Amino acid sequence: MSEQETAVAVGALRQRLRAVAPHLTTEVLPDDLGVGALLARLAEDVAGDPSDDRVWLLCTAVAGGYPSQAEVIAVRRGLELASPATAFSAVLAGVARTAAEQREGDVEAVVLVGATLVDVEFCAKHVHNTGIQRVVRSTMPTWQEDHAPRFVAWSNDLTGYRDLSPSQRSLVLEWTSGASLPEDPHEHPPVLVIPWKSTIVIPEVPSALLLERQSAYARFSGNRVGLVGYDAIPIVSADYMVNEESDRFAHYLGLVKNSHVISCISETTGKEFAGFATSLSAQGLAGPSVVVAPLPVALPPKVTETAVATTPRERPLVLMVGSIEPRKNQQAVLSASRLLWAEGLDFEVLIIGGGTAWLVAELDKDIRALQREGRHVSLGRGVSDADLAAAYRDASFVVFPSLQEGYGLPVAEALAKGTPVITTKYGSTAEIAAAGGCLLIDPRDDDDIARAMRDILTDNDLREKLVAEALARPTETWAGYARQLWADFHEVSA
Amino acid sequence: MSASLGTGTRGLVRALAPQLTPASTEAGRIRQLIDNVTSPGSREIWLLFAVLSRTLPTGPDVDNALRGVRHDGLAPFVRELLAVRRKPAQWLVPEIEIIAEPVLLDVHDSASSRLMTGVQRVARSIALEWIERPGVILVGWSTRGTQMLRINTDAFVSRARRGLFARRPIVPWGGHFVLAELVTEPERSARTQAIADSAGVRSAFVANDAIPLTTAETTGAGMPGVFAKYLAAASRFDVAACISQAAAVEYAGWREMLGSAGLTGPQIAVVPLPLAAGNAPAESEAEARALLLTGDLPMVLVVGSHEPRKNHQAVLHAAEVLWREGHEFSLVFIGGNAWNSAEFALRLDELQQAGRPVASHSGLSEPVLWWAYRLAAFSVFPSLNEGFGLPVAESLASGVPAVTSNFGSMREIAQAGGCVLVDPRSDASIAEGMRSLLTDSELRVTLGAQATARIEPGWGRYADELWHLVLD
Repeated sequence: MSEQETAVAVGALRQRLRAVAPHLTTEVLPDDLGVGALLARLAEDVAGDPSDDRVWLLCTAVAGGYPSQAEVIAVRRGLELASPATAFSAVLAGVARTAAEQREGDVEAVVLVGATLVDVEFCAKHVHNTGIQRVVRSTMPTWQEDHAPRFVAWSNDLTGYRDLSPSQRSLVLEWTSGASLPEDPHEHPPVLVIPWKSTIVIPEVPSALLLERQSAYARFSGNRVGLVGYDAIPIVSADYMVNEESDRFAHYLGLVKNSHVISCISETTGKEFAGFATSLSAQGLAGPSVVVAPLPVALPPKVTETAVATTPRERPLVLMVGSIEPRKNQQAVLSASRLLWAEGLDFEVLIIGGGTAWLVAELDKDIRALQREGRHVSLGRGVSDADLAAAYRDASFVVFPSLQEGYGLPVAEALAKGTPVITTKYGSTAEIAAAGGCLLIDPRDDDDIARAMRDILTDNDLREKLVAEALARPTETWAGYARQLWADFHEVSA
Repeated sequence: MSASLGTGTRGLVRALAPQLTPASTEAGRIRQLIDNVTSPGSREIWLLFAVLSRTLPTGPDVDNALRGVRHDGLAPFVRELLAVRRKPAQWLVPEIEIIAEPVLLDVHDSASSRLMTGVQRVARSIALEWIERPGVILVGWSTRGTQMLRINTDAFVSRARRGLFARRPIVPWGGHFVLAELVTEPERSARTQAIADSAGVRSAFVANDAIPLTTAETTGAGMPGVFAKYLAAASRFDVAACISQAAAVEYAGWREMLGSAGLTGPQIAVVPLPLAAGNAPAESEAEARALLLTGDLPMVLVVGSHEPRKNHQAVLHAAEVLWREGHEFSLVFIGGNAWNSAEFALRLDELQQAGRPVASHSGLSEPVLWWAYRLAAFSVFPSLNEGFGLPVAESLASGVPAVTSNFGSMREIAQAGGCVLVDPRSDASIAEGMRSLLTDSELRVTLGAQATARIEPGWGRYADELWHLVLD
């Protein structure tokens, strides 16, 4: 580091310490206090009242990034054993790792008090748009309109929050299907945002690299931390997942453990996280308060569907939407279809979804074999949102016999278009089905799936009845969901 | 009653078409199977797959086979399995033996490993108690985790490696399957899951803890991932025999999660581990004293590996606070380095450099370990999560009080006396617990007497309770 760079870094450290000082001491510190004296004063003050939140705040200001749990504990222990004259060195030694990982030595800080921060790290920097991203991008515009919370993402060294750049904001708040990545999605304003007596909402499932600092602020910083719980599939259906996914999720549970509220997207997911919270009493912890805000049965905002084809379909269309993987149970649909084709029923099966190359190749092979037998079955990959919406509209019904879901967006989107659905008789899909428009099946029984498909294919009155039920469902909107979610994070504290 | 039905297709005919006498040729027996096994369920498919391919099936293997048989009949399925066997890699696998109604006890790791972790100690103790009981067959797994092999009981008892596993794989037809240890090999997990799901056995597993799920942040890289596969297998078992109430709380919470996949999960039962005293022979006393005691100082003992979950850094900190207050005692750690123990080692070194009477030992013999408990003024075990907390039990079984955590299995063990409970997340609370035992010799005597009153002679009671839970 050159002399000049050092001077800038020291200046930034002094700015950060001054930014947190009013929250650590009631005394008014003289303006001309040098950085060393300032640090010594604050360290001594915190040593006198070493509550976790104060230690966390001082660590954050000194390191220029959020500390890990181990760092907070090390500083607390260091301060307990230090004399007034050595307190500052206990802090410096304790946060050495984060200070070294923080690569923007000149980062200044702003302390937000009583605010709501929303961590949209992934959506702000990527154009991927399935499951979780659809939820975040359908929800956050309402939050922006109602409350204008502080949307944040992580610094590139992953040590602390930064405000979003205009292009990052637009990826989150003004999403349109097919949006492309800005030139530098990682560029952001160079100021560390420090939450204090605030609420931090993490509506995504964060990358494993962030969990250590997030768990530490959830446990120690005194900020209230709220999560959105999507599912515990990597644990409950671990036999269908690669080990790394389960591993990552188990570490995510380390964040859940220290958070205050988790709002789950279905009753089923609520039971999963409540079960996890129950297990925590074995380690003397209560875990977060688990609440449920079911996702809406509604279409994502701003999708225009492809126009209706001019020629009518030759045979009814059976649609299946979902990633290509064993948990979604595409093989059961093929098997049930084979039973029905053998009975002489005439219909077309369209499977829309992407996935890991070898899984897609395997399914594709089975589909080709059926095509060679003259069966009307195909796999649609890379389908646009507009074509997907059109497929929902055109289908006779959707079949979705997933072995486990946190919610089941395809079920909701089909029903929102007035299309009947055959889906799993337990879990979140059964919850959605309760308000009408669905037939329920045992996804582990091909005959049961075939029975339901046969019923709709051969009984037009039944299909009409299910369509009517779907259309008569109570109207739900993403804005309504967004408001419930906001309330979950801001009202429970009473 | 347990009995061999023979090997290969001969055994299959006896199991699946018991009204017939197996034909004299392989082709004849295959014909008997195809003609007589009409609309087979997952149990029959599981057995056919295991015996004909000489490899235990996974769940997806069974599902695919069921679908194939549903659409195309049994004959193509049988032909396909026989073709698998013609692969050179399968030539050396002997024909599978089918055992009707056995009690299979899976103790693969404890039989083959030189290590002696808490889990392995439990599994080995069960095996030694059960070995003579009717129908019991100890089993392990082939190197690839795809076949179950009989364990030679003499080799198991004498801890011999040679001839430990028999060559011929076995499969159960009915009966019981008891998994006494944690499975960390994915192939073995997948096949264990299919056994519990499809083989038609009553299945039970010894549930030690769910720490890789509930405390993943304190486990080594990759462990939660393999543990999740173990849990997937466990979700198909009939009974979870938890080693403590705390383990039962963890597994009950996990069981709540399973409804999302339409699974019910096992019955959650508790069979608490014993407080079994170990052997501290007189001839080891001098060695232990010389190694572990510092002059006349009372010795405070901490047993366990130095992973963060065991909270040894908090003990070092509390000890330093107490030394600064002027308390006189030595601190002895017994346990190996483990995942993420560098910080502990660093702090230990600092305190030793500063002249504090603190030492750390690892790889000690069992007799010296049991003497360490006896020589200690008290032990400290403020772990953040334990399925049982063996060092607390061992301390009490040696008549020595323990300072331990005020929740979970540790609190449970402490309930009948002998312990001082502390909040392990508060250094001040740990120091307070240690201070009370350092300064109050009457308390030490009272708690020591409470501890002594609880000692069990051995593993008999535990093994009996487990037997009744699984077999009745």
